[in-house]
Amino acid sequence: MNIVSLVLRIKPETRAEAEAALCAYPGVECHGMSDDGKLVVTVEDAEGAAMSDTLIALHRVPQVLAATLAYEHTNVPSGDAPLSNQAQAAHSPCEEAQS
Amino acid sequence: MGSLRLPDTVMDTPRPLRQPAAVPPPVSAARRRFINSIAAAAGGGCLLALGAGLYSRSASALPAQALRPPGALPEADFLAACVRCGLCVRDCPYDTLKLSDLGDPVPTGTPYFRARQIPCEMCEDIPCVKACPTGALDRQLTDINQARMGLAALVDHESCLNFLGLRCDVCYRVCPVIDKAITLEPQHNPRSDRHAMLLPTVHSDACTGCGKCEKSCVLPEAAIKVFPRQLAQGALPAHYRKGWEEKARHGGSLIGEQVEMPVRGFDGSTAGRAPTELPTAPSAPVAPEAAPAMPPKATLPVRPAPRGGLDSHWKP
Amino acid sequence: MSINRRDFIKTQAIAAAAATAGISVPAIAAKKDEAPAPAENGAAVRWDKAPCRFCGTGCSVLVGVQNGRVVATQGDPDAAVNRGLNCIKGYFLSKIMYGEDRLTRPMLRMKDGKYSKDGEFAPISWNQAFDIMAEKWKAALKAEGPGSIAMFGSGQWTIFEGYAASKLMKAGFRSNNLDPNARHCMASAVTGFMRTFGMDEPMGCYDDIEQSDAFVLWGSNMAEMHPILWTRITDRRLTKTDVQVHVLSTFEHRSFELADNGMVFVPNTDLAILNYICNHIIQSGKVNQEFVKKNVNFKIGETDIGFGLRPAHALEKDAKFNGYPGADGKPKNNPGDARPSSFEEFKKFVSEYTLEKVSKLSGVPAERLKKLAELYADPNKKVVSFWTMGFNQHTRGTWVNNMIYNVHLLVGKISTPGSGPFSLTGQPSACGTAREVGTFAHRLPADMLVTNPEHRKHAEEIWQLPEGTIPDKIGLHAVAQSRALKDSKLKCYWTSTTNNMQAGPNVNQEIYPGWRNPAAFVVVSDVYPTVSALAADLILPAAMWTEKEGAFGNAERRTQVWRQQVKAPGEAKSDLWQFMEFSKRFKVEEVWPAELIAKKPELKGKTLFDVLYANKVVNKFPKSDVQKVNEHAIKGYTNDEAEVYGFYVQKGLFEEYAQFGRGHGHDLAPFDVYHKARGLRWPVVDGKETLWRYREGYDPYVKAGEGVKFYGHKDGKAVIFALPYQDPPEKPDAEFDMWLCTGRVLEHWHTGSMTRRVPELHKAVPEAQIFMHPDDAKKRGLQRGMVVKVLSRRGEMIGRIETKGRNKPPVGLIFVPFFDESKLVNKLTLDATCPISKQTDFKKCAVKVVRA
Repeated sequence: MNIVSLVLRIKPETRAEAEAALCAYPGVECHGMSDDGKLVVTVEDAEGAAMSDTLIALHRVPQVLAATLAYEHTNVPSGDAPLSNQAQAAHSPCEEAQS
Repeated sequence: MGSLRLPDTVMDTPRPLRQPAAVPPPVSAARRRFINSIAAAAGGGCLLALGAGLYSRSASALPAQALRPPGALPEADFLAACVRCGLCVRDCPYDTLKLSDLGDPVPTGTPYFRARQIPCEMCEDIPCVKACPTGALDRQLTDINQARMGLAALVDHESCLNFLGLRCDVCYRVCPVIDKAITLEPQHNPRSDRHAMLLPTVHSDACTGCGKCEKSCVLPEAAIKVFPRQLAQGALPAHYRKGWEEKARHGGSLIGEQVEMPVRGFDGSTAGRAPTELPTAPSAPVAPEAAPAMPPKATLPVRPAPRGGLDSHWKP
Repeated sequence: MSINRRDFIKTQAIAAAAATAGISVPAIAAKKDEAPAPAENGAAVRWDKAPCRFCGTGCSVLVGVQNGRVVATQGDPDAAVNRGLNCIKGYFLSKIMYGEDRLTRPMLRMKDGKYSKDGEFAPISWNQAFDIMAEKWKAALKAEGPGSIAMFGSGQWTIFEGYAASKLMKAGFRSNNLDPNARHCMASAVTGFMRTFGMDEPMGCYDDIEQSDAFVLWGSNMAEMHPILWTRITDRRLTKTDVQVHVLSTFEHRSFELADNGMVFVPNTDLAILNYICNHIIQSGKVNQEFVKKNVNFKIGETDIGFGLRPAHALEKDAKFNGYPGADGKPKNNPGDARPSSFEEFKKFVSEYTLEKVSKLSGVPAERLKKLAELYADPNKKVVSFWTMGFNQHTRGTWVNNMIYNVHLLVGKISTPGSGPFSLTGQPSACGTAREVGTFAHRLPADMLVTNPEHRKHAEEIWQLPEGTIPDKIGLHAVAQSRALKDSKLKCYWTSTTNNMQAGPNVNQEIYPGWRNPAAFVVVSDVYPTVSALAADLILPAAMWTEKEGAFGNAERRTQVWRQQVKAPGEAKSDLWQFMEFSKRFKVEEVWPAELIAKKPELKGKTLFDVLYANKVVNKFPKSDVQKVNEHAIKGYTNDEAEVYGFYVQKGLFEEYAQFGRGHGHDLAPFDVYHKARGLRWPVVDGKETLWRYREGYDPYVKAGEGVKFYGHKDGKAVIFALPYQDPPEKPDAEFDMWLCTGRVLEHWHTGSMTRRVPELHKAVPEAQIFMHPDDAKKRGLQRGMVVKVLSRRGEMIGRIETKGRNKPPVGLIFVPFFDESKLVNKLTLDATCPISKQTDFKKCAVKVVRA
């Protein structure tokens, strides 16, 4: 499960088009906007679209002027035993410990 | 002969088949590592601002559901010996172990696991202990069955399905030390009046605290939970002994044969056939771990001697 | 109200972003499509009865419906079988219909808008689905006749569905190529009953448990597979002194936990053990002479009967009684043949099965075998023998069923409260649908046979068909269907409510090549995209359990009926509707020869629907009856089929079907009664259930003064068969050095298509493990938890080793459950069957285990 939230800067008057364009991406939801055009958006994995790919795609939406990452959660789904006996490199706790 | 391969089919209706282990994480490992490191860098700044107050509070006590890896020294010694290197976590093949983060209720940087999330799979070669450079995980632990990471306790008799008379007992069947660490104790079910209730019962002399039972409990909130031993276990005082066990251990009454006189108008022994006539011989409290070849723990009062059958001595 | 983890994290994510942006965001609500918790919103939960969807125990549950959805279930506290209890599968019944990937539209393999064997699945309409099916069926029937089509059905079909399918295949298409998956499950029990008693299904019932002094489990792990019955046995063991439990298996499993006498024997030597017990009974003078003299005939069975392998197989070439065509093209005798014999001959026959010899052969210590034999011999001990797949899935499955009856008949411990042989079933309606309705390739309803001209005539009369409609040749059984598909002899194949690509034997060499054979068109009706569905050419979405009105029959002859509670999702339809709708596509002229129609000219121009279902009997009860019969339970009740066809389809089918059994020992109560009762054990005569058959006072078919009468045979006697021990067709050797036994676990049912979609059950047992003795692991340099490869001569699978835990195989044997579709253990199994019952032996073949 991967979920991030972003604050996107848009022109307030383009909100409708921006939300339509953003929500066209699977896994994207718009949650609210400040008066000066800071739009709160969440992005998560959807079928056929990884969160990370969508994240990059959002930058290219014409109405989006700038994007800031506000919150990020990633983990491998728990509950399923890994098939491989090898520790997953992407999960290396040493990196996390040292960061 | 090649193995079965299903045709690649594109189902236009929902989701792939449930093939748990085979679902690849949607993000490539490299990319996720990249995102992780950015997020971690951002997070680090925030955490610094939290100050030391939070940290010092969380360092004092281990929460009830955080379990230490196999072979961990007593908590105080463990904290003293653990250098927070993360090697045990790295070598855990099942991603069971985690290093606590700042803000976690576990002393920061120390390894722990939560049974309900990923339990310990009890690797025979105990890689986490081997990896420990300081002995915080005791290297004398070579038999994983001797690990005492915690102790399972069936904490909620009201919601445990077997206590309701249903046949769940998933906790029992997934137990790697089945029939020793968890047994099913049959009891008449007075409500149905024709079924037995099979009550899962944890035995502290064999439970390693691996957490498979808690993990697999089918209830929304597990009725069986694993706690650090000091939280889960009671202790009997020395001033009272269990008479039936003492008798069994002694092989007869502690005071030897006593005179028994017949009673007028009544044939047979006045003592009757008390349950103590048919004692099971429990292992002494400090008995060493039963060898693997030993028969499983008897659960019914009367049980014929050794139950072979494990190896029929048949060879192909 | 709880919100799940994902929503929780999302809420946090939004809060964090909102804080950054300096705005407030209304909290997002909990997941919208989540079912409202019962009692939390206004609509009341409506409760109605149904049997559990899983095993053959037949526990009764109450189904709670709210806003058109099953929101909860509970064990029925007043039901005799389970008294309000359920096992962990039954506990999750309310979730089985709501897996994320329910099939909701027909899907066809297509390329460029047309059907193509190597195309991709694309959704189509029901009309298009029946179009392509009718096209294929008609082409096959025209080119090669009824032998080129087949249907594979299920012991999970409702009684109505099984009956409708039987009529469609045997009468409509005039093909006996109809077989249920119960062939893999109960066929040996059926042939065992038929050979010994001339009549199918157990004489006793579950009430035996509370009457008995001892229980013997032969190849049955009731602790996991019949959990609720097991608690009844445990309770009996607890509450009455001196009750004994004996357990026999080829590996130690959970039922050994309660065993006073546990016995692990070398595979196949149960045959020898049973003969030893008979020998012991005779030698110790404990034969119930009076009973045997009055009620038993003796026979010696043929022994050179092969192993149900392909005729070209080395083991079949020389077999003289395997029934396969010989050099002259004629069948080589009948594997079921037996010649009359006598008690003296039987005595001599079993005398060579001495304690010493059998103990050595079976690997069971002599004192344990003796204790078991003494239990059966003791005239003061009431004994119930239970068995399931250990007996039935056996290359000598029919024999071993016959041989347990030998034991009970010798001592007269049968058909009496607390004593009897009891064949348990694995599917909810293996008895009710597969056996009683007669969906086997050789059967007609009520134990009748397609090879018997009188039986065919009787069926044709009830079905109002011209004489000679039902073909006289036994159709293709399950394994033969797979072979015929591979050999391009079958062109059209419809399987329903079953998952043979996972559950059938030798998937790799037989089933998969058969289904993907370009000459074959394979249709799968099911509720989820099973392995079978994905290997088919056309997938039909089916309604399940309480999405339709139905009836099951459990292992103790108990018929249980339920009402439709909710609608099926999307375009999913009941199998009953599918069969009836498909029958409309055929005119009699397209499926019957002119001379047959000439015998009943009034059928000219009619469709199979008119002939089979609109025959003035099935459509006799008007739609208004639906409400009338069920008004007491659900106000304004109706069901989907009644709405479509305008008559009470289920009642019409049931009442026509019941004509077969009434007055012949299979009496069913009037249909309406079942809608008011929890379940009734047939024969239901004079408003009474029958608990014990064949004994005066209990069974209405045994007259006063007759005592015991096995009226299935004309002379009223049962048969004791002299049958020997024989080696199985494949044994471990130097290369493939271990036995493989497959089976189930408590948490998952059969191929897991339902239970693996319940998250809690999936979490409890996420994958199939390979259970192995620690010494065997050590010898191969393996450790618990390691990923290994298991290979047989037919295929391979990969999985994890488990040397601890619930099953403890002896050295030389591994046990692998078959519920896990990601680890298809049936790629390894051998398609050898009992030559008489044609049931596969899933319990023994040779494999080797190596590091993956």
